[in-house]
Amino acid sequence: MTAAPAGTAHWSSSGTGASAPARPAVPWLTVIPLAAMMAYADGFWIVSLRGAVGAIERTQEPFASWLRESTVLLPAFVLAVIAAVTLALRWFGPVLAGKKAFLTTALLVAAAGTVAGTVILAASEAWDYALQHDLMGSLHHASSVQSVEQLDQASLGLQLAAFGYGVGLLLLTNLVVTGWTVAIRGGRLDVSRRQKGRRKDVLRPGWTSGWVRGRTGATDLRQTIAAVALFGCAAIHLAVIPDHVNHWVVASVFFLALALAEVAGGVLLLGRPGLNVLVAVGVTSVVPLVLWVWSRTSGLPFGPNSNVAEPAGLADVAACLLELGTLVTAVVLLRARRGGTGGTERHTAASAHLRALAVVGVMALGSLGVAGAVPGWLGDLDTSGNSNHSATH
Amino acid sequence: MSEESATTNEVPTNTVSRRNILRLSAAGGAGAALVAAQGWAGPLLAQKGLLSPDGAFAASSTALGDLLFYIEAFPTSPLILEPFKDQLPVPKALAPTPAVGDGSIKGYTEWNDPPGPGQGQQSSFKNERHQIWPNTIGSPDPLVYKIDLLLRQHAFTTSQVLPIDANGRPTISFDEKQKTYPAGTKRTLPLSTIYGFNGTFPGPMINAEYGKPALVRFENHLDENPLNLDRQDFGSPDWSFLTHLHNGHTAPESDGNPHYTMVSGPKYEGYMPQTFCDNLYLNWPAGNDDREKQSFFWFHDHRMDHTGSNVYKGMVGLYPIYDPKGGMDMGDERRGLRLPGVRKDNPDGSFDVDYDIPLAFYDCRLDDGVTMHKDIHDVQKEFPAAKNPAKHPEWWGKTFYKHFPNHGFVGDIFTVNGTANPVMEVKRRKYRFRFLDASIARIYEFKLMSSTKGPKSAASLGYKGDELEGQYRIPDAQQCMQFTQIASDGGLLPFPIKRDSFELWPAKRREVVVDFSRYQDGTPTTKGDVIYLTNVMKMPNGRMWSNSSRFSPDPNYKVPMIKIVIGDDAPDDSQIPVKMRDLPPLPSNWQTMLDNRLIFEVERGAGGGETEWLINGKPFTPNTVATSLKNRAGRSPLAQQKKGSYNLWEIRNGGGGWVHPFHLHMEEHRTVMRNNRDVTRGGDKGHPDDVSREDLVALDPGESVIIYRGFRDFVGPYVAHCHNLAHEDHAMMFGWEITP
Repeated sequence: MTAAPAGTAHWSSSGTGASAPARPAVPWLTVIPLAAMMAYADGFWIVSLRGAVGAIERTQEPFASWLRESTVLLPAFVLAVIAAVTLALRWFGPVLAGKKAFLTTALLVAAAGTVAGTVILAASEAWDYALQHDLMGSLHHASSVQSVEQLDQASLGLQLAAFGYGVGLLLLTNLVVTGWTVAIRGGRLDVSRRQKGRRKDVLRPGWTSGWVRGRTGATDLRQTIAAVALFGCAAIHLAVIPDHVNHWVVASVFFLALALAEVAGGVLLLGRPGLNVLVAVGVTSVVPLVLWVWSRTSGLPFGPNSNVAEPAGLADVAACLLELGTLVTAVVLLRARRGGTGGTERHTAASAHLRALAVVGVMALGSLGVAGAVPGWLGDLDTSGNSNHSATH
Repeated sequence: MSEESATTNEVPTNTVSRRNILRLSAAGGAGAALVAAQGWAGPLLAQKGLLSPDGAFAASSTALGDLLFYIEAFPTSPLILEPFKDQLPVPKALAPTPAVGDGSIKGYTEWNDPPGPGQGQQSSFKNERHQIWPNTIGSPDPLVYKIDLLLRQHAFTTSQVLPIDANGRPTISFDEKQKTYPAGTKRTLPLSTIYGFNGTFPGPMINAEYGKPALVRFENHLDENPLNLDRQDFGSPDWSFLTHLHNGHTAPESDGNPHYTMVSGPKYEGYMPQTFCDNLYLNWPAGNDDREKQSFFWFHDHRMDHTGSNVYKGMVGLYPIYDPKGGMDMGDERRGLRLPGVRKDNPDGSFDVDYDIPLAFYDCRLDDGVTMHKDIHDVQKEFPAAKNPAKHPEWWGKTFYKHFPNHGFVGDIFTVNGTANPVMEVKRRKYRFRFLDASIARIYEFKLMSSTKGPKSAASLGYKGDELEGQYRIPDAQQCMQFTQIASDGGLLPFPIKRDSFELWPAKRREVVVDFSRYQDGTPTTKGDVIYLTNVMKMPNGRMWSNSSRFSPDPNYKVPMIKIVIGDDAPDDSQIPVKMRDLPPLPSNWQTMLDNRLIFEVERGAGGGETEWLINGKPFTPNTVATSLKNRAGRSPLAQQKKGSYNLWEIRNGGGGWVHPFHLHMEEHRTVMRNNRDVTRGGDKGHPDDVSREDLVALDPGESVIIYRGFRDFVGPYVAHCHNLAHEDHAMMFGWEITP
């Protein structure tokens, strides 16, 4: 096999008569198994390390935690593997020619998975430390000769040591897992595949500023991203409903209405959205953003805890980022629409890989937000508590 | 290498072959790993209760912790060269203090602060009174005992020793001036420094009786150092103490509840030097119900955060309690149940009972001078004089302790009543033995065994490391006698249980009758015959056993604890009764209480150096009442019970491959369910005395136990905690209370 020039995107002759250059597509059959294997293998170590040095609130039912967290974080690993194969595609072309290209790509995949795992591990350790720090504050030792600071330092030291060992474990594991996954696939490690069902990619003008590809009328990337972001927001808002039902039904109803609006907006965005749809999408994003900023700064002037600022959490931050992204996209699309060129295009040079990166990135953020919205999924600080002794004699 | 090239550019046959080889290799490797894991790890996990998805993670976490984060070294104690020469000490009963002295001793009415029922008379802090004085329940004024906490010394053996290393090879040793002795030098052990009740280990024994209350004045003199002893680096650093009568039915102010003292009395973790407290033991059964009578207490230190180190340093005392009502169990084998015992009433007001022998088991490690002293308490500068982390050759041969052992603390020298490898001559008759595990974490399983070749040192048999624990083995030992168990923590059983062996968990008591006149096959014993009380449970660390009769017995692990030599004949009026004390009845509808039970899960939680052991995810906080986990009724009730009420509590082992001896103060409980199985009509096979009253729940890995408890007679705060004292000292405890 001869190495193809770096950066080229030519597909070798298939022998089927289709000799025209084909746009490389994401090799999902490579990406998904690799990402899944690394997500669940890394998840095993992350949960195991937590069992050794983590906060006790997060060490219960480790098997369920592993399944849940690895699944939730799978998009992050998919993102990492796509990034790795995208880089390999740019370096070596659509076909890996030679051992060097093959090994480098395998190492890239393992390294990317390790980066994803490391970020997750760091977040997990930080969360553990925060919970342990909180625990230290409530210790009786605070009144004794032992100071909270010393206990705190011991916790921090333990978490840092766990992080250091953890990164090494993840790297080693990902190397093994990548090698095994490639082996079980008969030595296949694809960085791209030829798109099926298209004779060739045809960019045709559309009313949007992006390009619309092929006869199937594939959606503009920005529309896709905005739609996925809206679906992610909807999922997060649906996930927070049970937690709000008990103490403020109005909020639950609001989140339900918001989620429905977001789903509707997302569906409409995937079609041929008109001006009204884009405005509606913008409003659907602006309203919760404003309410969020208000509730996290001065507190809402109504509700059971009026005028009390709420703490920010993983779910609401994720939702806000998605809403912000949707809003920006909607504005960009509106401006393009109002530009009135209609048929004027700014062809986005996004390859299938980059499209996938963007979409999976948004999905990863949404997935994280949903996990953060469900109590106990990523570990909750238990505020229920003990009460002072009342009985004396 | 790509999908495309695979289908287009390569010769199909070669490609398929190569790919299939790769696939087969990958699949085969994974399969082989799985089979190996099942074959090797499966049984190991099963033994530790970890053969489950959660268990696999727990095992992995434990392995990571052990390998990477919690690395600890313990010394190997020098080998006792002449075992079974020191006589087993059998404690004599402590005499009560007379009301009026006789010149040599002050009567308690002549003390500066005499005990009494008045306000301010419960302790030197003059801010407490006894919740119930005996006359309010129709009992006489209490017998008064005086016990001083003293800084003294103790010898575990008089034998010479040979310093050995972890491989069992002779090694160097040191003396108090740090002089080095070459390997192979036989040495005499220095005395170990103790904090002792009246300066002895074990401390005094109070023979108590139901209906005769006892008031014990515990007075702290630990600041006095007349022998100019080195206190080393364990024991409460401020020399405070707090005494708990385990498990007396006692009011909070006399119970040694560590959180009680934080808000009452001294308003500190314990009683400081030159202070005292009067613990009043009513010797009155819960609810004045004879079926609640117990038979063997012990008292030990309960100072918050330092219970383990204080107990290990010697604060242990014995408190058998007899029941004279109808002569049922009054230490006279001619009356009542006719359990073994010949009572001698002494002129000083005490009484001793022959053939009724308490056995307190305690394991320790002696410093080898080369092991680093290092744990979280050093970081906290509790023992600045020790300048830890440091090695202490000057402490060679003295007790070594680690406050915060991540794997738990177990010793490698096993002692009985403070003596390592004692010998005891017995008459050819029945004896009553009161077993007590006063160890920090070690669990024992006892058998009575005989041997023709006798004990050999584990080192001489080629054992190394943890296998040296216990120092001696009897390779050819065979069981020769049975025990007849007559009592557990909660007193006499409803009926005796014949047992080949029994386990003794920390703080647990078991009472047995042994007939030394004949072997289990009916053959009579003869004078000079030798029997060994043998420990067959291998427990390499404080986590749990590795081998026992219930799980993977190790036929080579037979550690002799006491050499019993058959002596002369002696009269024996005792009998083994068919029926003893009835259990208090369970309500017929106890199962309807299950939904609203209180649930407490003991678990390991890493955090901040020493808060490693938690209950329901929380560390012990002295001024609070714990909250139950959510029960089936969907509630998370506080651990508050009305006086006179009863309830079901569930204690769960949160896993991680640890066992927990979980102790609940105040009243005995009865186990009704173990691992969701009703055991009221017969105990679990592994826990045959679940059909008794107990104060300690023995939790195997992953087990859950539901108990039925009463809350009678007193109000106020109490505690419940793991009696692995390293766990208790590191927050595995919770407060609960009885409200009026």
